[in-house]
Amino acid sequence: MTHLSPEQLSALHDGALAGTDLASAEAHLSACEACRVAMTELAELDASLDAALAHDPGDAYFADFASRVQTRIAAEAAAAEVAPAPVVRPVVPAPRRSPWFAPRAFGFAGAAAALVVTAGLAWMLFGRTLAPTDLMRANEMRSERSEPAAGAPAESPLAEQAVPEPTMQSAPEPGAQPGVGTTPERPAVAPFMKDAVPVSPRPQAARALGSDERARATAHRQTSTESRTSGSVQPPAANEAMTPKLMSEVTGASEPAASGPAATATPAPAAAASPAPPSDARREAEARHDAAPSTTPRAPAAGSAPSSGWGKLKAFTQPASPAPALAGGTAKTRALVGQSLDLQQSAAAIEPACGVVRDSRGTPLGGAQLTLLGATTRSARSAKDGSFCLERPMVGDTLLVMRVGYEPVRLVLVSSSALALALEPVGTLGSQDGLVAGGGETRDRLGSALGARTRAPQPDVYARESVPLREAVSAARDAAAMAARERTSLAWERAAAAWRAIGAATTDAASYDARFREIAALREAWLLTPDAAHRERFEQAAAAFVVGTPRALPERATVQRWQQELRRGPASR
Amino acid sequence: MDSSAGRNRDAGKTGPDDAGNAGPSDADLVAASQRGDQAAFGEIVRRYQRAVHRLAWSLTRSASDADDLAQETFVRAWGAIGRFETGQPLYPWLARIVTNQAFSLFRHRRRRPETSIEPLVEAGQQWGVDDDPADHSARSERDAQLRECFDALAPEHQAVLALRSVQDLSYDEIAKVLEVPVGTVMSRLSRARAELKRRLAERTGGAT
Repeated sequence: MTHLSPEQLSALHDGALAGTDLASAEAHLSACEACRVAMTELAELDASLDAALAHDPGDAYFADFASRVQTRIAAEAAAAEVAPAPVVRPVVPAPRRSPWFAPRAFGFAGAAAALVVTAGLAWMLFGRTLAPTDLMRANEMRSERSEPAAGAPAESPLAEQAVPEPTMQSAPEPGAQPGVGTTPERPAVAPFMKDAVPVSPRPQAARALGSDERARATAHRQTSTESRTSGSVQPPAANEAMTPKLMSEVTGASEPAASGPAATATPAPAAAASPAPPSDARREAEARHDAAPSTTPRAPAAGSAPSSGWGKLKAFTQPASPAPALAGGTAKTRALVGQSLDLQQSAAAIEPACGVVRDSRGTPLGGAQLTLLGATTRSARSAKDGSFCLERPMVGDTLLVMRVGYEPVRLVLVSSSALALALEPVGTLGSQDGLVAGGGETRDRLGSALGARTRAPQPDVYARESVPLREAVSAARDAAAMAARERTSLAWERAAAAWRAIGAATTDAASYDARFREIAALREAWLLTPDAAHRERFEQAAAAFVVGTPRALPERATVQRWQQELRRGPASR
Repeated sequence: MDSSAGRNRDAGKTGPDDAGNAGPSDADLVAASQRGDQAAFGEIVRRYQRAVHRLAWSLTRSASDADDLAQETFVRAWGAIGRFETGQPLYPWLARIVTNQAFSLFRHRRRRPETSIEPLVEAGQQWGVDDDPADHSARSERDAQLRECFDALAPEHQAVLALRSVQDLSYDEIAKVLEVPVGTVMSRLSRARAELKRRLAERTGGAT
């Protein structure tokens, strides 16, 4: 008797045999013990494979999945539109929200508000009313400018990033719950798909965000967040012109942008960054010119918002090119850009750029060398408080920021933007820290605006670990990031487990770090589900940590504080 | 937001058509999508997101990779929806996009070394609140071994196993996904299983 071949067994198991094949196989099976055993093993293997490989990230993950896809599609469309330089559409449609969008998306307004609170301006190009070197005034102005953004959802493209990051970073801190609380209602926006051109979707606020999102996603695969559905715009520099480690933030000051020179100059950086300015930059320019920008800060009109957001976004999605700008593109574009630059020049001539250099934790950094490369080279060194001023910044100028121990930052200036620079310490794994010391879900993206603000400017504690372990660290950060997004105790438990595995596999600083993150994750889980089981896990991990770590370890004090909090209960935080 | 139809589909292991769904059929959604109806495509996404993610995960075993791959699948699907042959089952087409991307990922990236502690981490990540840790550790060890052996398989074998064992697709559907004859599916699946079994036996000293 010939046994069934592995192929026959396999097919029989899968129910893929039919007719005589099936009949003969079954006949044999009924008579052959060996083949029945083999068949059983096959079934067992199959079942265990299913169990081992299956994974469900949970409802929370899928709740906004479609909207994330849509954001990405928008980004793809945006990228696709760049190359062929399609017909210019002068007016950008009002922001509409696709039916895809999940309700978890942050509102732009909230994002903007959070930005004001948390984003800590580091560097600005101010309006012409700004007196040189007047940092105090600068800060006031930033506040003033940011305020309208709070009411103008799409006007704060950057805000999107400001929301999730700071909140996540602060998540471990008492009283700092991620996001929602600081996020006002999303603006009511009409679904954008009804009349949208499907194959080549039009630029819209949401799509603009998408481009940025896409850029980030491409730069670094990452778990996505609901926050992505909010607006985010980075300057060309942010995506292209900077070194990967750089973390810079650009506040999309689209509202002040409208105040004349700044606004009209917006396309310039795009042109500067790419020999072939995107059609959208053109469109933006046209839109602005058509709209006869006023000389006062633009009202938070939703209708005007997307144009700025989209235009900027487009600029950012352009590949960086050392070849400046004005030479590229169509004649029309050149004309527009030129016009913009002229305006900007007149403005720039009287404006200083003052700001503060910070590390990615937000601590001001003195001694940073700033060099502005343009028609002339200007340089400055940040003072002890991180402050600096540079003269005559011009749109399109390249700013270099260097400091020992930090990744250099290079970016091309964008007009009318409030930029926040954060220097990333050399040698870190990236900015994907999940929480606490790592600061929320900070995606390691090129030119990502928000860095891990709270990340200490310290060497990467995992730098000496093996590649697999570093990968595990990355996965744990992802898990924590996902947890921060999902805000479920289960997700935090998973993150904690991931960190626990790393903590067990490492020693010293790396172990302390991993265990601290584990505790922080357990704490989040407990805060979300303050029951006995969560409390116990958190409590035990915290107790073990405090006992087993050096007194000088800053994290130890934090954990001790958490222990006190634990005794009071989650409600007291 | 998720329609019940999508939920049903989502919950299913395979993701492909389940005829009893309320709401528009896949064909209707595809036709609408081809006319540019993004809402219809959004429904397709919701309908198949779990199945697609599940496949992506089984081929990458990485949260970020799976997320990226799953999203990218729908992005590409949207871009190519105009070329989709109406009347064909939708899921194999989506699954083909997933597997092609996964293959591409395989090619561009060295797989993790076997010493990776990723399985450990992933095992940890799967630790649910209600799970019994002891039970979990034994199970997760088995799973981790299996995953590592699975990792070591050729991409084609991984794909065919994932499509069959995890996605529960029929040979016909797998043939569509991989664009190979059904006979090839059968033989490849058989070889993949044999190889997996061999590696597992090697790893566990014969005690599977």
